Amino acid sequence: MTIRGAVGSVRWGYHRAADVRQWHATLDPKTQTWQLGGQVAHADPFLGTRSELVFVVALKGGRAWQWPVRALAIGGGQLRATLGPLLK
Amino acid sequence: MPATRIVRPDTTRLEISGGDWLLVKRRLNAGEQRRAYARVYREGADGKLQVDSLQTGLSLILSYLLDWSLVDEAGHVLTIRDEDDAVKMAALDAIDYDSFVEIKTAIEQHEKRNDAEAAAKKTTPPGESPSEPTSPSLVGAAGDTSG
Repeated sequence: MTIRGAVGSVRWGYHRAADVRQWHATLDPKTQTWQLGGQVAHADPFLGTRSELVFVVALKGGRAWQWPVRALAIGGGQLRATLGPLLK
Repeated sequence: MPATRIVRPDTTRLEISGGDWLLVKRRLNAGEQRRAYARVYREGADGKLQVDSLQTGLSLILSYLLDWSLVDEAGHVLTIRDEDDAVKMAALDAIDYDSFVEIKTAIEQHEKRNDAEAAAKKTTPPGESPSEPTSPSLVGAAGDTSG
């Protein structure tokens, strides 16, 4: 399963470690992890090294999808990350 | 856990009148504090920096405030979460002045509590628990830590 979106952000708490455009995430059913890819619109090199990062996609009504970031790589204008299961 | 000087991006919810609430940063980090100062200093005619006292309250609010429950006439939340300072300022300009002062006061009190807690931690020897942050003796020991 692959889901796609226009914008999302990698966050450390309320800080934005990276903003991503045209992102797509593909679920690996064996590991229940997601492989995220997208274009980097903004990235903070320091915040990107923090633990406890979360990928956040805002939904209508103030709700949001959130996934824990297990690995993150940014380069060449692209962001790639491994995400854990969707947080409740 | 090792003692780090990095400020974690923790948040606190402050209750205000009318059942409304504010979501604020627990502490500012150095960059956020510098930006708060930058918003209130202006270069005077003599070239020296002067504090613009009209901006101090606004700067404090902009530095701390992340979200709130305030609504418009239709009952829709005035969206400020993840918005830049210009949007937050527009929303703060649109509310009545008493509400603005109430928000400023709530955040000022939050900052003072944090200052007192931080001062208590600095004066507490390792291995000992700090006293309650509301203890009068701690407030006295904290002195003036603002600015």
